[in-house]
Amino acid sequence: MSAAVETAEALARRLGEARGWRLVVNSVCSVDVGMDDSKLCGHYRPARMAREIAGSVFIIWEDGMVSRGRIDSKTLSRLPRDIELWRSLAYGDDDAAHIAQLMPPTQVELFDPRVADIVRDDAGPVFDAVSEIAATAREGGADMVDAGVGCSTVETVIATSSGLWVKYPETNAWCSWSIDKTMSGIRLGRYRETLSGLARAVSVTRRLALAAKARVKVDARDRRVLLTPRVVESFIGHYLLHNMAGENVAEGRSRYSLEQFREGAHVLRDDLSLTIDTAVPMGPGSYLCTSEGVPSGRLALIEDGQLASPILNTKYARRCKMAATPIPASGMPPGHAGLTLRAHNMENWAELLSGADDVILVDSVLGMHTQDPTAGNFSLAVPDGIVVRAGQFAGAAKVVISGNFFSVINEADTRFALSEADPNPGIELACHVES
Amino acid sequence: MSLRVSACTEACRAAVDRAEALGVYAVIRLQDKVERAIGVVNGRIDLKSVEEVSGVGIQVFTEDWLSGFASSDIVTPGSLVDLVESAARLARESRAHGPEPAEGIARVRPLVAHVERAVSMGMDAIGHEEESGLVAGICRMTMEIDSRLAVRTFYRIVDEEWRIVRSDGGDVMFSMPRAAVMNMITARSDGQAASVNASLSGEDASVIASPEGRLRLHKRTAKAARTALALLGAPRARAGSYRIVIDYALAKGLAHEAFGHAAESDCMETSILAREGRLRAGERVAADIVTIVDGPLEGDYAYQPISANGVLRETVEIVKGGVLMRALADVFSAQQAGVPVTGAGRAESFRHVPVPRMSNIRITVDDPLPMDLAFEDVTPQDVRDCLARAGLLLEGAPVLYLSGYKGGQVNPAKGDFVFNCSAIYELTPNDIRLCQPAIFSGKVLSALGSIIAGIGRPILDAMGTCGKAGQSVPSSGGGNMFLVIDANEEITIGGV
Repeated sequence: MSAAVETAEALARRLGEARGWRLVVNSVCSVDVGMDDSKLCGHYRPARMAREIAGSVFIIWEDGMVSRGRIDSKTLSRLPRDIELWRSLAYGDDDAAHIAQLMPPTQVELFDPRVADIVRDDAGPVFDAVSEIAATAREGGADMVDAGVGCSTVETVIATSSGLWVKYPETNAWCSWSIDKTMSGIRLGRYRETLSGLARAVSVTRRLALAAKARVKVDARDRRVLLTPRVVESFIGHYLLHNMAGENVAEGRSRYSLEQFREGAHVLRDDLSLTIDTAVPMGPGSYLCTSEGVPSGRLALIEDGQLASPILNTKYARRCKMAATPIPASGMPPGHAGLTLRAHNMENWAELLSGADDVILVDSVLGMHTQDPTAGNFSLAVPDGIVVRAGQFAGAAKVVISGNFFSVINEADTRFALSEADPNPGIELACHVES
Repeated sequence: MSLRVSACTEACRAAVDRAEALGVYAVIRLQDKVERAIGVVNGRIDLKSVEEVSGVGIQVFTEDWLSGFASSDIVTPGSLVDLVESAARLARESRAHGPEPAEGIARVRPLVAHVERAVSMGMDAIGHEEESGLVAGICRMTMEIDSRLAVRTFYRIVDEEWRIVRSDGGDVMFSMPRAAVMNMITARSDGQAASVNASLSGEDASVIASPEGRLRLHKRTAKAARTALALLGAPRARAGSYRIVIDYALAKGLAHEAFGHAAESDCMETSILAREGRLRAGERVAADIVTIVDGPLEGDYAYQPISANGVLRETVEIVKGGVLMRALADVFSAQQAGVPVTGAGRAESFRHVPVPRMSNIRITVDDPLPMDLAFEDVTPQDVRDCLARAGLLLEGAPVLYLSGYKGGQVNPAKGDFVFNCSAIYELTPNDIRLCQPAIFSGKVLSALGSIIAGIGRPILDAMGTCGKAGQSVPSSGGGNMFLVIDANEEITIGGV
């Protein structure tokens, strides 16, 4: 029996007298290799391996009070004491005091045995991937390369007092790189192939980094700006995700009220939709069910510009009197977690870029996390805004872009374009550019 | 010895012995952290949790200084021996791929020390019910300020211990107690919304349990809440370059994000404060009234007395009289940067490899303008009057007063920084106009060179979290109550 199963079973037995409970236990093994300042496995990025058990438990006691606790490798050996500790911190939360009824988890493939082999036996492919990133970047004239590549295996057990007991394995693989401390890229997946064939993706980043070396001047004015899919991810994560989060909606900290969701208020352009899908086979943010036992799946959050549903865990679903929803995985860009923005008649990203003229291409911004997501205003520094003239990179300028995210994406002339490599589109829009 | 990590001696010994048998040098980093958190949303308890986290990370160095790292949350002799073997295997496997040797650890002398910070109101000083009641009370009191406010109050108290054991006999243990409370306030009306924060940090529960702590937090909260409400109808500031005034929290942001990171020894390959990989010590980088210091302060939220490599953490004068003096350096990159080791290595957890980083950084100026009020009682009018008396506010040249720090980001290689504030006050001799927040961005050295005055005594409790290298560690700092930065083409506000 694995350590995760043993821990979960022991805990479930001990919690038999509670009114309700749910738990999630993850047993994680990982290996990763890094490169800083073009140095492989230097002082701060040695080849690493980690193994750990991490998880959480939620308990509803006989008196209706609830407790939350953390699970790790030591939980098994100190169970009576831990349960006592959790009990001592119980609190009243009527909406939270509920265990989801038994629902069959969605069957989603998440495991590649070849990735598990890398984690268990042979870190060679991880070293090779870093070497491929570095070689591609250097061939194109990069001065400085930073990179990180890794894999992990996770065994997950999710159980509830309503009868759910699900155990499944998953694998993860990730690559990230930054060239000349200016432009960067990321690839997330679950297959062994995530770690190979990186040259094409790295060369896209390299081309941007090289373009940023030549400096040009731009005028301060309202103008067209092209946000790459990577930057759009950060806009979606900061502005849309915050305002769609059930706890923010329920507690008045979202731009949108619960009433607006119930009415299906029109908040985006008619052709825009925001969807969450956490059941994409081998999707990096996919899972079988949430830690509360809610099955994974696909759901429209905004449909044809109208609010459809906030993102709701069981607590806020009860408070909002709506159904609990899939929850985007944390720790990754929203698109990889299954949150996608779509417009009708989206263009092709490569064609949009090649047809661009007199626009500023924005691939990274400084200060996103400092912006107020409820107001929607943005005022962001772009250290390397790339000027595109007749589809060609003409050099880069430091600019500040500003506007209101919710206003600019709703403009009729705002364009959306998908690339093969990215889950979310790039966006061409008009905003103020200060040079 | 009463630190919990003192119980792991046998496991550490087993790891050191195994390292010796394998012919590698080991640094064993044990962490034991207890953290309790309470969240209250609009007056209702939303979260109470306790986390007990302990584990070990072992970094080994082969005979040719190749490095490998392994971590686990199991702290037993057998687990640590396994980790040494795994880390050694990875280090040797890297040899085929042309890795960079990680020298440096052998050049520092072994330290044996035990630094336990005793606090008067630690984790168990007040009961759970009382603690919850205090946090809920803070939230409700904030909501009573105005019915248009939504409030989330979050309180966290942490008792964290570390033990660093090295193959050379070094063995240090230390504690890092801390606590913080934050009110996150959203004002909403007529389809408009504005968000602001107010916080108080320290080393123990006195931030919520002492009358002084509660009063100070309430004053900060009331000021922030009034600002949020006023922002609902506020105009936008016009983008451009202005003479600006920043409060001490923004000054901490400037010192930390814009300057401190560039002074860390692992950044010297690309930092604006280095040339050919070495610190530009002795060069002027700021106005001659400016001093920047980083170091651990007892009672501070980001206190750490010893580095995660087992070296005493020094208080470092990074800039003195406007001249660059020293870097924040750890054992691995100090020599290459041409600077002495200052014990700057910090790690988020046992899972992480430490990197040089700040603890409490402060930026101060000589002969500041007097301000007799407590910071919480200072109004924009007081700032305006102080500037006017000093001849720093002139007709036709508005000064922008940036209030409240909402985070920032920097590129140390290029010297670009960006910060955001909670609100902007446009000060003129005869008027004060509240404007929407906008980013304050520019070049680090331009900003430091443009500091022309300070106002009031230094305040050093601006709390934050440093996210360098994907690791989150507590940070803090401050400066004079306010700093005055002259208009400069390379420093801009906005715009929206």
